[in-house]
Order: sequence, then structure tokens, then C-alpha cells
Amino acid sequence: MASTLRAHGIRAELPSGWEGRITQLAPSMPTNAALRSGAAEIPAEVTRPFAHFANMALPPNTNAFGGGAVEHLGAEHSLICLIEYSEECAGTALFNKHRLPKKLSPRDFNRRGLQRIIPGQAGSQTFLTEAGRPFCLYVVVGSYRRLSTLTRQVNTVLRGIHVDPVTSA
Amino acid sequence: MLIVLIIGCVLLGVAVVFATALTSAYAQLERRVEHLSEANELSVPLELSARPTAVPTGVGGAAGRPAHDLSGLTLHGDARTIATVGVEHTTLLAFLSSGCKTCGRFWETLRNQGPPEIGPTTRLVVLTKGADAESPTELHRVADGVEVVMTTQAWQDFEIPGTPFFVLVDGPTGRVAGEGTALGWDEVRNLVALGLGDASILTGVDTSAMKPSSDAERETMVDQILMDAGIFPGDPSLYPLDGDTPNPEG
Repeated sequence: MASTLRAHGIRAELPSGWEGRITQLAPSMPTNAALRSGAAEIPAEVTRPFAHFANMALPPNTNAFGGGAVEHLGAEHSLICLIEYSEECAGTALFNKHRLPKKLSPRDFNRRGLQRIIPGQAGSQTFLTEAGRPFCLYVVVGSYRRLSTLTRQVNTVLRGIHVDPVTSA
Repeated sequence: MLIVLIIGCVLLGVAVVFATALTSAYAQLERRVEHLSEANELSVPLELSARPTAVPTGVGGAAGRPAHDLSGLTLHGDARTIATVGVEHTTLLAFLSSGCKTCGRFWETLRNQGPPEIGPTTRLVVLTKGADAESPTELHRVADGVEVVMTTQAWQDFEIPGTPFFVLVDGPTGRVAGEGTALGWDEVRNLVALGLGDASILTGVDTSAMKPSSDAERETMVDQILMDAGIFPGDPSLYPLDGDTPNPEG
């Protein structure tokens, strides 16, 4: 393994040539308009962490679902996004898969299974609950034609991702 | 007999001059190394080391040595790893700090003009020491809008003597292709051009698509030889003076 990344209860051991980022955006402040609207109390925004892993240079401002990075995916590249949802989603029908997949099959990918359709690319989306935390695992490969090879590489990374249970609110 | 004596004297004289020059150069080098070990900030630019070589650069070890992947935190507290080894591209590591005066001009350009043009195959990564040795507040001020990875580990891995310092990593080989300090981004671009043997980084003109491959290879080779000799694009010695213009009619 080339490097280890750990933050917000997510740990990833990445193979050589892969890099990653684990982010949690700062809550945005209520707008002046919202404050002027007279709402007695505006609840603070709660943000959740998300992680990106890729065998390419990750652009600085990559969106949770890979916007800003997928445009740069080459035929030999893959991007893995792991996005946490709010805790009330845990164990619900959509998130009823109770493990982070350690192995995807080429059959899990679809050329239309993308947040943003880019010709040649393919995507896979899995909703799951791991360690009591609900996540979406979204994987984009740069070339549908090279799906077998790219899926094998992605699986190597997935095997190195670990999620800790939530310890604080 | 007299001739032999004269020749002997001349040879002795040459040997004395040579020995003096060598001693003086060594003393100068020693002073420079001492200066580096005393001062954390490099105020005087060192010579940029060129091609991968086993010859020590005098600072930070030798070009050609193994590089390392990077691991640290961004200014916003994101955990970040960056692969420099086993990737297709070259990575230019810019080791800066919030306190060093020379770094100020690098930060200013990054803030106001964005990353400098260093070629399509080279990625710039800006690094500072971790929060244990840097002021995050000051960094937020100088590095506003710049992606920075804070990692003291990288300083140790690459044996960085002070700031500003730049290391060029060749991704496919996973080795350091060049390193040195600089006073401005233009000098850094020289380092990249030297390390890659690609003068188009300095001129902005990529001629490779316009020419047969043998021409492009020859041009790259000539560029590399000239840059190794310290002659970069725009150097006056590349252009004949008016009086030197050859007369086609002989």
C-alpha cells in the first residue's frame, strides 16, 4: 500500500498510483434574506463527510459525486466516491445493504448509471449502511471497454476502505 | 635543457593555478552548505540541478533518488493523499511557508493569477509544514484560494533544507528529476523545463505536432543540451548580432 488516509471515521489504504481526499464541508450560514424573513430559529445546517479516491490527479474542488473530476477521467482512470447521508437514513429500504462492497462486478456498471453522462464512461451506484452509517458508493470508470481491468483496480481500493461507527453527533 | 626547464616551469604554474581555483571553489561550496544549514530560509537561489543524476545537488540529497507519495491535511482540515509515484504525470512540489519573505511573491502569484504555466503533463502541488510548525491563520491569509497540503512528513521525506524549495518528481520512474530553490516562478519553470527537457514550457509553443517525429526528437535533444549548458529560450547568444548575419552570397 502506498498511502493511508484517515478522517471523519473513514480510513483508506490506497495502492500505489491512487490518491484521495476525505472532506466535510463547513455548514453554510443562513442568508440575510432568511434572517429577515422573521423565522424565529433557523436550524444550523448539518454536513456529512464524503471521500474521493482516484488513480488520477484529483482537482481541488471536486463535488461530492465527482463533478469537476469525471470530466478529466482518462480511459485508464477510475473515481470512487463515498458519500455519507444523515443518520436517519441508516437501515431504511434504500440503505438496507449492510456492508460496504469489497468487490464490484463489471455487471454492476452501466453507461447510463452516471450523474453526468459522459460518452465512454460507466458508473455504479450502491446505497448501503456500514457501521450504522448510511452511505452511497458511487464509482465511475473512464472506459466501458476496459471495464474488467478497471473493476479489478477499483476492487483493490474497496478492500482497503474501512468505516468506523459514529462516536459523536 | 633550458627548453625543458621552461616547459617544466609553465606546467608547474598551470598546476598551481588549477589547484588554487579548485581550493577556492571547494571553500565557496563549503561556505554555501554552512549557510544553508544555519538558515532555514533560502534567500539566495541555488543552482537548479538538472537531469536525473547520482551527483549530489548540495541540498536535499541527489536528483535521481526515490520520491514519496504525500499525505497531510488541507487548510480546511480535509485529509489528503497525493500520489507522485507510479503515476503518468510529473509533479512539481512547491515547498513554501507563510513566514518566509521570498515565498511571499510565490503566494501572491498563486492567489492573484492562479498556478503558473508549467506544461500539460506537470501537476503543481503546494506544500507547507503541518500545523505543528506553521500558522494556519497566517496560511489562510497568504494562501487564500490555493490548494495547500500541510505535511511536515514530506519535508522529512524529501530532506527539504528551507523555503522556498522545489522538487520535480517523475511519476513513471518515481524518482526526483530536479530540485532547487528560486526567486520567482520563471526560475521554477526553468527547473521544470530542465527536468523534462522540454523548452516549450518556457516558450509556450509546442512544435511536436508540426514536425516529423525525428525532427521533434532532435529538437528535444538540442533543447536539452542547450538548457544543460544554461542557455534557455530567449538567451541573447541564440540570436546572431546584425553584423554576424551570414551573407547568402558568400
